[in-house]
Amino acid sequence: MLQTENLTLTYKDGDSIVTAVNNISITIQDHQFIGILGPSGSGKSSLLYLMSGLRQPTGGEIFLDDRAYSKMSEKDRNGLRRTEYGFVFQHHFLINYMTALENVMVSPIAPSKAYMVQAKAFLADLGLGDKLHRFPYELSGGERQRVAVARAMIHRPRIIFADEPTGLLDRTTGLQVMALLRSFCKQGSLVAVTHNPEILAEADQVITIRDGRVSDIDYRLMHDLKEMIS
Amino acid sequence: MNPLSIWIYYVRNKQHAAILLATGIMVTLGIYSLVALVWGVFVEPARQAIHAYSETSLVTPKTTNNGFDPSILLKLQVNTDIENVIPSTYIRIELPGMIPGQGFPFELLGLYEGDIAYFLERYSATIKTGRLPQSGAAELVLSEDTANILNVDVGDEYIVTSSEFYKGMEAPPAPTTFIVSGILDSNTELGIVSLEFLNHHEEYRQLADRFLVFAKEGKEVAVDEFLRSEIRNLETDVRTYQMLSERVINEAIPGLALLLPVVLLVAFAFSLVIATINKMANVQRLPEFGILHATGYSKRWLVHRLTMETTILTMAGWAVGIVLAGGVLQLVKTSLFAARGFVFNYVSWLPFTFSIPIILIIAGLTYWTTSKTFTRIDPVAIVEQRSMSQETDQKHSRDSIESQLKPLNPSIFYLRHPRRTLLLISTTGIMIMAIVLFVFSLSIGSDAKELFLDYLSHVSIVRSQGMANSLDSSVLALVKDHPTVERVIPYAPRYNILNVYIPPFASANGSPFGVYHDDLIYLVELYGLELKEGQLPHPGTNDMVISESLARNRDLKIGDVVGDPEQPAYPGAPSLDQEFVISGIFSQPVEPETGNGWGFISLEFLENQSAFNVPDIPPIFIVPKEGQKENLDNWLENELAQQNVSVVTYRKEIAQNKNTARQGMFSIALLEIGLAVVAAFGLTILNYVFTSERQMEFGVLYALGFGRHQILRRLLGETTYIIGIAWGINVLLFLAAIVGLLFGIFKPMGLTFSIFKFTPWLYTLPIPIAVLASSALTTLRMFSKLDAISIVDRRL
Repeated sequence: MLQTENLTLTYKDGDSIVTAVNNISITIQDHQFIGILGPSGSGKSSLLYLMSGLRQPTGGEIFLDDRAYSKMSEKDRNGLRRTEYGFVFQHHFLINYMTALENVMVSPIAPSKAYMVQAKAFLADLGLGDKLHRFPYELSGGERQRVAVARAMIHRPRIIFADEPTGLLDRTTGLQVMALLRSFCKQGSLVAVTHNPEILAEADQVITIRDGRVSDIDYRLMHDLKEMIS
Repeated sequence: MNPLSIWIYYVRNKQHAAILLATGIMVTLGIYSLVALVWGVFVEPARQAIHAYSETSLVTPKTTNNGFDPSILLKLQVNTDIENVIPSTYIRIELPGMIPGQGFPFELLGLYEGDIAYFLERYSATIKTGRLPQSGAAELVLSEDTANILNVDVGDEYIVTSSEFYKGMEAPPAPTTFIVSGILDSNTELGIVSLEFLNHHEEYRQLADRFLVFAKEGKEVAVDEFLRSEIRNLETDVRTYQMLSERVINEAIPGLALLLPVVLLVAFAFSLVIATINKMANVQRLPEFGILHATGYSKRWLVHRLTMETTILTMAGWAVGIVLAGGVLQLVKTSLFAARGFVFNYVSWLPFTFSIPIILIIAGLTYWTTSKTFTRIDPVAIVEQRSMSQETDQKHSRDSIESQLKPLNPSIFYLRHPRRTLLLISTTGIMIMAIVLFVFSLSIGSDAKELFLDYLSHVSIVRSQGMANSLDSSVLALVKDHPTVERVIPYAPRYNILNVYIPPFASANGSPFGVYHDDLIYLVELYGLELKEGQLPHPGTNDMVISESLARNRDLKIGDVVGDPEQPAYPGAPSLDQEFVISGIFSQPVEPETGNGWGFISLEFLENQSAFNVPDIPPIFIVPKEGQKENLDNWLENELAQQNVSVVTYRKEIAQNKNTARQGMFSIALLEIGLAVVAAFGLTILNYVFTSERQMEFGVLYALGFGRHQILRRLLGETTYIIGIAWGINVLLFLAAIVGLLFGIFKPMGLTFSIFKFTPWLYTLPIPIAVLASSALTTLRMFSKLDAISIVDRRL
């Protein structure tokens, strides 16, 4: 379980102080799909970076189970991201001189042949079995994002943080990628940030953020979306 | 500002401009300073040392025994272009150089008391402190700079012939103590002693008499021409200041010639760095090129514009580099050169000329690489895909790559970027090669010289200190009676008859020894020498037997005549009063190689020739009893050397040879420090640019949980890997080149050297180490500023 308590992030922008995240307290239960919805600049990505330990809050606290981030060293927080979390970004951020398989193999702490076999099988399941040794520039946008999803899932993390994971994909491919991510919830939690409500149709909970604050947890939207899609 | 001006890009892209400008500055600063220092340390002191002849010309009989033809003096005196002719002689001393152990020959002029005032007037020199030397007194005056270099003042003693310069001579003049009577205020390095004093000392009387010829004002060229055409003949030598200067420059040319490839290599390496930086910047400018090309600007126009942009910035860097070099060298001049009395003209044509190729090479390579890139330019692909052409991204063959188990291994990045790998390896290699060329030429020369000292392996030498002086009979008796001595063999002082050429610029004495026939037979047996062809010299004849090494080195054969000025036995062979004929050639000695330096002529013959002043008791070879060589050498060096005799032993000669090479290498080490800084700068910039390009990769790895230290360690591992590979490849290439040199050039010339000497190889290390250290520092700095969030937060 990941929990935030009065989470706050402020920073200076010239002479003024900007509050990107303002006193947010949320809980992410295991095997949940949490959507964070909001317009551009609302602070949803900042919240994701705080929850994943990429950025340090200026106020409040984050707990993974009963472990407080503030009590952890940078090394420990790096370790969390390495073992407990996975990431999918709007851009695939695949390393361009590594093959699809190698990009997936970047994640494990101790790469082994067994891991490689597993990675190959996983990519094959994602429909990339014949493109294991292709470089990112030899793949389509959807294929690249699927490799990025495989990279986030291969080490069986507890939570995947996805920041606009379908932002650069066409609608059909975007929904395919979201279906992949959704399938992850059998083994862990998914936190997806987006300004596109459509991809949150399967979400267990949608948190709407405006000006750095939680404005609503909108179950009606979920219901309407589910109906619309069905 | 004109939007298509060649300035606008750099005005708006200051970081790129700063990198290129700094690269141009550093390479110019490095090369200008390197060349200026080499000139200032190795050549300028030799030029200054001959400035004493800048107002005069020398007319000298070629040998001491021919005397001087009075008609020559008459011709000189009646020439109306000549203002004055004054008799003179000289004592050669050594002026120490800037580097420990370095020295330059300098001539103290012997002048009659009545001529000194005229001489000083011609050089606008005046007495600053003290007085001129008294007639017949052991006194000398020195110009201020010369006194500073020798570290003497008025009233100090100076022993003029005990210097290092005479160590290499077979029979140097005995040391004489002079008192410094005065210091001259003069722009020219001068030293004057009393000719009356020299004429009253037997050993100095053997020095060459000569005349200093002073031309009237404006008639210098006419007098030089007159001396060259009318006075110079077989018996009379003429040396004008121009000829002396040419000789100094000619002697310096081999060293400078070695410097030129260094400069070209460094300039080329830096131009590769600049070409790479430009290429990366050009990728960012693809839309600009695409739009310009689409709107009608030709590829040629684009190439021209890009080349001009880089060239102008390089020229600006070059100009700033020259100015900065001036500042640095002025500091060096004030703190190092001037403080010790050395003249250092860093504003000289040579470093200036040597720095010109920087601009030419960089401009040339930029033009070439840009032209090559722009042949593929496709405006549609640029506008649509931001790539140069439709083919750009298909650079990897799909079947050629197999995924690796550990994709973060240091080797992966460079294996997947062969061009960068090649660039880093070649630039590192070029920098290393630039300096190691120097070191190996010295080391090889030193090794090859040792081959010709082998003759001392079974004998040692004792000789008098004075030129052609007889050995003291008591010393001879002491030696003969010593319990370690098996046999004493008299020999004639070693005249300069033959020398060995050691590529590229060194030489060793290969002259034969004059020994009696019985002793010759004994030495041949002692060293196990065998005649390959011909015969040993007959007693009383001008026959000569030489080693096979020397015969191969100078391509000498049985019957060849050595000493004939009309038909020299080999290029540069000396002309002698008495010719010698090669009668025999020894076989190359088998293990152990001990006889390479031996060559013999008949001492009976030399004793009958007035041209060769064989002393009453000549120098001696001392053959030790079996197993007593070390004891004998200990006794000779520690006890007999106290008796005012020169002792030459194998170990002493080898040690001196090694020491000379070490001193040379020390000088090179100083140069290498400068070059390593420049190389490290260039390669670090390259590495920095490559690394900066990978910010996205580092940001993602950080987001995925890799700590800064892990990423940094990986990056340093990659740099170490590639620099290590570069070092290894270059060492192997060098090894191959050296083996080729040994078996392709040295062995056929009868020479050899050791491939596996440790020291020269050590010199390959500073540049890679400097590159690694500076890369580590810049990478560390870059990582301290790494902001992973800003990278992964990109919205495309």
